[in-house]
Amino acid sequence: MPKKGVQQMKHLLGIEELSKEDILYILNLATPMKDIILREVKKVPTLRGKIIATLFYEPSTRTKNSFELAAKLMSADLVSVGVSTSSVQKGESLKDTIYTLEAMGVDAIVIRHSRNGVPNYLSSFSHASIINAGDGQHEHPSQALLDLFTIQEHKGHIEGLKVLIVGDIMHSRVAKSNIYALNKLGAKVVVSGPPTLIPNEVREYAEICYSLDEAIKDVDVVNVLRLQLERQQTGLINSLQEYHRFYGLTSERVKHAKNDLLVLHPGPMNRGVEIDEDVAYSEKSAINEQVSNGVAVRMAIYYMLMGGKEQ
Amino acid sequence: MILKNGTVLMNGAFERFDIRIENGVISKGGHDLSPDEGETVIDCQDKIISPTFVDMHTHVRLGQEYKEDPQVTIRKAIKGGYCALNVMPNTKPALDCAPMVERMLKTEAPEGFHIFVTGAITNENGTLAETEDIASAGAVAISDDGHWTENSFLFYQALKYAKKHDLLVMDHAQDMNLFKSGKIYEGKASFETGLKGFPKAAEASAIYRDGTLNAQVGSRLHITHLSTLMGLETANALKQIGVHVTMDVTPHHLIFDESAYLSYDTNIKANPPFGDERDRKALVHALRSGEITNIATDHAPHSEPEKDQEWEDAPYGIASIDSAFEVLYQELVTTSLVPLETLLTAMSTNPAYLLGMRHGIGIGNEANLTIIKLNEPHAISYEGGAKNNPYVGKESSAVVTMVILKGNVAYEYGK
Repeated sequence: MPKKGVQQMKHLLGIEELSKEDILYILNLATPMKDIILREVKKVPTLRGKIIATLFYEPSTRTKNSFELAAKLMSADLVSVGVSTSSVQKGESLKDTIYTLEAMGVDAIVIRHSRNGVPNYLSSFSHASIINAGDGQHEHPSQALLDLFTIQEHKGHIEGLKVLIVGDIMHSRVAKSNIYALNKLGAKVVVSGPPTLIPNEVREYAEICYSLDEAIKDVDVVNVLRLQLERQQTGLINSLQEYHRFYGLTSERVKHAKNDLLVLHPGPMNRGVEIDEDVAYSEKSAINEQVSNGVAVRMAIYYMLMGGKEQ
Repeated sequence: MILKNGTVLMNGAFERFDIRIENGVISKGGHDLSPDEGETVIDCQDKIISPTFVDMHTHVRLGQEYKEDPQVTIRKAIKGGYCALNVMPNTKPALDCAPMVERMLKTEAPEGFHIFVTGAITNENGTLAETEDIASAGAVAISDDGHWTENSFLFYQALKYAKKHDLLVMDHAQDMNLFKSGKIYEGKASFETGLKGFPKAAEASAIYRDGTLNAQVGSRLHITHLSTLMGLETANALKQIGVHVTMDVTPHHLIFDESAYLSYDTNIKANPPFGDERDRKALVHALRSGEITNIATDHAPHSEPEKDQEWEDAPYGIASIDSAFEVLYQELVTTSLVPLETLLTAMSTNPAYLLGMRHGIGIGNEANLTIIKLNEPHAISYEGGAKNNPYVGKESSAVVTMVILKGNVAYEYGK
């Protein structure tokens, strides 16, 4: 299993820095990790004696719990920093917070932050491994990896698939990490959404199709992005109703898609805005599976960064 | 004092002759000047003698000395070859009234070092500052630098007051509604870094508004820190129809393009942001062609804790007055993109002209001279004060070896 190159990786900052081989390596690792979750005794000693800290400056339910559960299943000790109850509230700088965690002997820091490039910044001075759990509008690599893992489970492969990403491409770190990963693995990417939320620069990586009705017709997978409701106030979308009419994944639209269409959503959902309830809970949807795959993929990430070193 | 055998920049061209300085003034030029008894002779063989540099856009941190003490800024400026600064009004408190202008003008500085003051166009109430008082107190320019003067009506009135007092109107041309929507220009880098992008039209549209307003006034409108090709073309088009517009560009807009943002290095975070490679090349070309006549550093020092944090929370600004010439020589002259004469003129007599300062190598002029040695490879060093200078450690093959202010040696390399 160990692969040259990958073993030297210290941080997971974004998908953009990864090679195709790196991504496939993580996806391959995630399969045995998922087996562990399905066992009677859900615990392996792989990371015994290691300390992992989660540091979330933005609210999160699934990503934070998923990273923490993955750490526990691998027997790591966990420091879960509650930003609202920590020295951060006393004005401690991010740099000092990291130094404090390092002084406690932390081996890896899982960070979520509203500011772009924070994991890159931390990696410039931190001795611990930095794992990006979402930074601003930049990247959310573990989400992209779990999306790809889910796609691979359903379709058997990634290469050659046509994947549609719908919604706020401009502000979505999930979209960006997915676009990079799908490109590297040879899938074809189509994006759809309002013209105000699709940056021109995405053309380098994806085809733009503003009409969801058109775009949905021949794709294998549709990944529906969460709409940040505050986009309405800033003038980027006109109303949630209009958004739903043009870009909502409705059962009517799904009828015109391929029979074996796979529906993904990173959660949390705005039902009735970007996706309808009957689609989200239909047999085409893998939304809940994405959550359990998330734990497996994050275990694989820990393994890659911290596992096979001393053992 | 005699400067012997130097290659002297006069009227935009190099010529070899000796210079005599008496009583702080250039008293004679000629070949084979022989020294009087006891007269100092400085050997300038293989050296360039330029009029000292004049920075028409400097942030001196009066009231925010923790960023960089004004005395340190002046010392760094002299080391960089400068004899004059034009101070932007965003000090604390701001230079938006006559007493503050007077206070700034009293800043202690070595003899021969000139402090020019730019007063604010608007004050914190959002109305016009007392432009006539500011002019009477000694300001040579007005600006809302750091921000655009959003209110068209007020800017129109400011142009009229500026015309009456012959003030330079330094325009931070940037549509604020567009600017507020982002951190850097929309493009490949904003996509890849996640840093929010705003359209480059923010600059050109502001230049167009201000230029057309000035078409009706005829004041001296100056676009500072130009950053985009569209902005350049808009200013050129305004000139074509007879509008008085001049421009300056910063060293960093001549050196960096948006790809620099991929590092999330806060020391290169500046506003206006960097355009793409096309923008940068257009600015370099315009400097060479003379469409852009001035280089201004936009020296903006910040403290280390302010810069050592999350990129989006770090303040805008690059502090490079101590190394602007050295880095520009390396990036533009050794690469044959811009002739040395053009670079030196854009840094010295051209900005002096806009600030109304008599400057240049001529009989009777104050002896303010920067002596430069080429072919002296060295690493650009840290000179104290603020650390947000992205050029520290970079190689340059030109060095300022001596700065003479009003006939006195104010700086000597290695001493």
